[in-house]
Formats: sequence, structure tokens, C-alpha cells
Amino acid sequence: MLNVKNLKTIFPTDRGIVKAVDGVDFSLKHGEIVGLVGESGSGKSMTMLSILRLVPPPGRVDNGEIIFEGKNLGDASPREMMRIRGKEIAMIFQDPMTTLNPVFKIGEQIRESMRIHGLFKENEVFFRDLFKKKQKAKEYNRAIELMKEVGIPAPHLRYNDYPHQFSGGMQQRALIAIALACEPKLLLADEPTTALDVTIQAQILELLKKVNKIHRTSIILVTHDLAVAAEFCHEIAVMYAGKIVERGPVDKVIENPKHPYTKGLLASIPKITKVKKKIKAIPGNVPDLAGLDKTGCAFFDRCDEVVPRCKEVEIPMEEVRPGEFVRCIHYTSKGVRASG
Amino acid sequence: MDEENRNKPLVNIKNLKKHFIKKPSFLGKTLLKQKKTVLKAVDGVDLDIHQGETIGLVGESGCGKTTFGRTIVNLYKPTSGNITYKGINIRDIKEENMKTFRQAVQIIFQNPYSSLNPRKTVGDILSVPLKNRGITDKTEREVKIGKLLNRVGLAPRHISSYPHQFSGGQRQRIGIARALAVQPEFIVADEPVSALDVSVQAQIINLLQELQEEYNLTYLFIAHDLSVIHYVSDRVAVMYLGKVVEIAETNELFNNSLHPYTKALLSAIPTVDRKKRQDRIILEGTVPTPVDIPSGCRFKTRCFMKKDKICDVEEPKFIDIGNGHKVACHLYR
Repeated sequence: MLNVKNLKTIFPTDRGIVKAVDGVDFSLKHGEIVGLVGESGSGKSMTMLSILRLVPPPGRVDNGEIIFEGKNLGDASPREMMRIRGKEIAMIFQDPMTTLNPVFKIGEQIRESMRIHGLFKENEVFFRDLFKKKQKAKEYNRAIELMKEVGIPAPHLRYNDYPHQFSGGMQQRALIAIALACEPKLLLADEPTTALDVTIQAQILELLKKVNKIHRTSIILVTHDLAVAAEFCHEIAVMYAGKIVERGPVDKVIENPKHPYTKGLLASIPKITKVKKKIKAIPGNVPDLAGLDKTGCAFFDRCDEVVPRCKEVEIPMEEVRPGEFVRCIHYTSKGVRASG
Repeated sequence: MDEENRNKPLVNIKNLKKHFIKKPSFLGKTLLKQKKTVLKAVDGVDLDIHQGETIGLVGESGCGKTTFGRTIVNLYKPTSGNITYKGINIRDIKEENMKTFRQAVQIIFQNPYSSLNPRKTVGDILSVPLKNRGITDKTEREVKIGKLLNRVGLAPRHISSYPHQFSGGQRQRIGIARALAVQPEFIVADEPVSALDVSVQAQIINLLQELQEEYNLTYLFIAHDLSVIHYVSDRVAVMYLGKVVEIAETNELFNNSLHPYTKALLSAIPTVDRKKRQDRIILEGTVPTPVDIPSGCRFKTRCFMKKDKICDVEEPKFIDIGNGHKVACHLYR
């Protein structure tokens, strides 16, 4: 349904070109949930914005194809993109407080995308005013229905509330309602639970799961929390410095990680077990993309399995087993891992 | 540690309350008949902290964790209740002796971006606590700063850098160095890792643990991430709406939690381990506002195990059910 091929998004800066997204490939089927995992600055959010063609200037998509339902979004005109955004592909942003407009009522904001996409528009142009009332009533009912669906209590009363009257969890629910208004086929969720407490996080993830099941909406979940991705997604792609370094079915990636970065991430999460094991941190910091050397693996200076060739050759994505991809020198077809 | 010290807590907190009062303006009072509102951020906490241990404090945002931590280090004056540090009530410490207390007790702040002055170099930032300690010689200070920086995993050459030149994890290291500079005994770590990336978070946690062993530090570790709390703490206290609802040894709390809120909190942790996943208790609603705390049990509005009328009427007592496992719930009495 969605097929992203060799996506590259760049930002020209005075320190040189920053490759925020550097050759990302992945695909998504109907009703599937894919998790995009990585630390801050790894290019997860930029990948999402590139799909919607919302990369803030001076950044731009430099290369690559985004095929959505057989149509290349790279070739779509701004008008066509507007029709796709919100209707076919909807996005939930990280921080609900800044995403919602503080001066409009929650209900009106849910109605907005239905109005823009003309969900209940009558065809007649004559007597438009007559139909407008009818259209508005339909939109109102749908908004109430949506608020009920996402679990906002007393929707008739809450329709007239402003964002600041909602708690963080409720705001996130309102955002999900807005995203679902036009029944999109694809939902891009950018860290939807990061700003929330664990108990509220559990509520929101449960809600997204329900949406996925009932409407068969495909979801791309962007998160830095491997545990959230592990529970929620069918497939996981781990990103590092603008590249996907490992991709595969969730169980395979979590239980048998191949890339040293994935292994490191898994080892640095404290686990709740009876006997406490010392957690292993990945040394060093997330690299600054502007100063990044062009060739080789970006993880080489933090990696404990590094070999001199890591920095010399461009490392391709290799399909280790059907559906499992790794970008690491130890798994390239020429140098299949000799040890362990 | 000898037997006598073990029984005497380093910090003893009794019925600590911190209320913030908002008075209406003159107009609001006269025309709109507004009344003053009281936000009960910390509302009666009892806690003993022993020498050399790490107490984890968990709770959702707005439950009063941070206020509690700040009240203990005397950044806020408590509304009522007592904090005794090494047998001395903090209220009785005279202004001139406050310096000694402030050196023994330090705090590491949550946000490494806002807790360091952007106009001062690392050297300036770390000089202040050293000056307070009475080290007036500049070269001696510089040697000390170099050692401190080395200890927290930075290089002595960083002494003339400004905070913006560092990443989040490195800045948190500076914050830790600042706290260490006065050779404290007790450190309140207020969400020291929640603003950091996972791979860096592990580095900081490990650093804090090494320092604890080296200097025999006592920590109050405030966090909302339960897996981090489990990893660092000897005992864990769970806070809800300004009160500690359950406290126990870490493994006891994680394996044998009693309070419904703790149960729900624990079941909500996402895990990477598929076998460990359990049925999730999804709590309804959100934390009520601390301006208007429910009568009776403060958790009753979200509780899934509510017993009977007693939960509505009577506030549950904080009772010990053995082995230092205390819980405030009507189910256990």
C-alpha cells in the first residue's frame, strides 16, 4: 500500500548539507502497524514529514519515491497533496498542546477536516445555504460520534471546550479524533505517547490498536521507546543517523537483534527481573549529522564490533532471511559474519 | 554500617505537607466572590531514608514528586510537618548554619538544558560550590574541577566550554559534577534521566551508581519510568495525589504489589519481553486536580477494586503489613 524507496531528505546549512533522511526504504501493507524506532535526531520524524511532503524549508526531499496506493506522492501537485493529507493519510503529532489551536473549540477542530475535504458536501450548488445547515448537522453528528469512539466522556459538552480545558491524554484523544475524521487509510503517529504518563500511554495505545482493528487503518508509529514498539507493532525498523539499520518482524528484531546498535539499545533498557543485571550503555553520543563523514557506517565510533572496513565502504542493506534486513558489514554477502 | 546507624534514619520525614495557596485579587474577591484556592501538592507524607540506600519515588505527572523533592532540600518551606536530617529538625537550623545543611544535601535537576546558566562556562558553574566550600585558591579550584570533570566522564579541557556546546547527556554530567563538588551525603535526583536518549540514559544511571558506591551517597531518585526505578532503587515509594500510597523493597513491590494503583501502574509498563507481558489494567480517566482532592480515599475515582462505602468516607491509614511493606488502602486492614 505504501512503498518508500531510497528516500533522501536534505537540509542545506552553513556547515554543509545535512542528510536528515539518507536512503530509507520500507513498505507497508493494509492493516499493518510498522514501528520506526530511533533516538532523537535519527530522522524518524523527518521521514514522516517527507511522506506528507511537509518538510520545512530549506529542507527538501532530494531523491526517492513514495508510492502510496500506486501513486507517486513525489509527482503529486500541491492541490492533490492537499486532498491526500488528512483524507488518505493523517498524522498525529507529538505534542498535543502545541498542535491544537488554542482559540478554536475542540469540536470545531474535529469538524474542520471534514469540512475541508467536503465529506458531507451536497452536490447542488443552488440553495447552497439551505444545504449548508444540513451539512453542518451531519458534520456535528460525526464529530460527536468520533469523540465517543476515542473515549472523550460527555462529548456533547466537551464539543464546546477549548484545548486548555482538556488534560494531556484527552488532548491526544482529540488529536486522534481529528486524524480519524475522514477515515484515512494510513495514520502516521509521531511519538503519540511520549508526553504522557504510563497509565495514559496504555490507554492511548489501546485506542490506536482498536482503530487499527476496526477500520483496518495502517499505522506507522514513530517512537524512541523500543518497548512500546515491541508491544504495539507488527514490524520494526530501527533508524540511526538517517538510515534504517535493521528492519524485520517485531519478534525477530527484539528476540534476535543483529545490528550492534539494536543490540545496544536493547541492552541499555533496564529490565524488570528478580536479579538485577547491570545495564550496558552504548558509549558516546548520538552523532551530529552535520559533521558526519560521508562514507561508511555512522555507528562505527560507538560500536563494539567495529572493524576497519566499516569506515571504508558503503554498507548496503542486506536481506539476511526473508523479510529481515540488516545494514552491517558483518552481514554483507561478501563478508558473512565469521564469528558469533 | 553498624546496627545503631541502621536503625536511625538519615532523613526522617513526618506528615510533610506543602500547600500552595492562590489568593484571589481584590476585584475577584469583592465582585466575583472568589475564594482562595489551595493546591495540595504534598499532602501528608511519612518517609524514612537510611544512609547509603536509594529510594525510588514514582508517580504520574502532577502527583507532587518534584515538590516533595524540593521541600526536602529546603528549596520550599513546608506548610506543616517535620523533616529531620541526622536528628536535627530543618526548621531549627539557623540561617548561618544553613550552608552546612545545603552542602550535605544536594539536588540534580530534571532538565539539563534549563538548569545550567548558558552565559557561564563549566569552570564558572563548578567554581561556585567550591568557593562555598571555602576553596579560595584559584589554581587549587581548577585542579579540583579537573578531577570532578574526569570523575563524571568529561575531560578537563571542557572547563572553558559553555553549556550549549554539550549534548544533553554531557550537560547532565555537569549537573552531577556540580552536586558532587560540595561533597554531599544525600542527593535528590529529580528525574535525572527522563530528558535523555535511551542509550545515554544508561550511561548516566551507571555513573550515578558508581558514585554512590564510591562516596557512600544516599539517593532519593525521582522518576516516572518504572523500569529505571526498578533498576536503581533499594526501596520504592509510589505517590498518588500528594501522598505515598505504597512503599516496599523493590522486588517486593514489583512482585507483590498491594495497592490497586501500584498494580495498574506496573501493568502499564511496556516491555520488550513477550513472555513477561501480562493482562493490562487500563485505568480510567486521569489524576484529579490537587486543588480538589476527592474525599475518603483519593484514588477512589479511578479504582477498579473499590470495596464499599468506606472508600468514599474514610481516608485509608498508611499501615505496615510486615517487612517494611506499607500500604494505604482499605483492602488491607
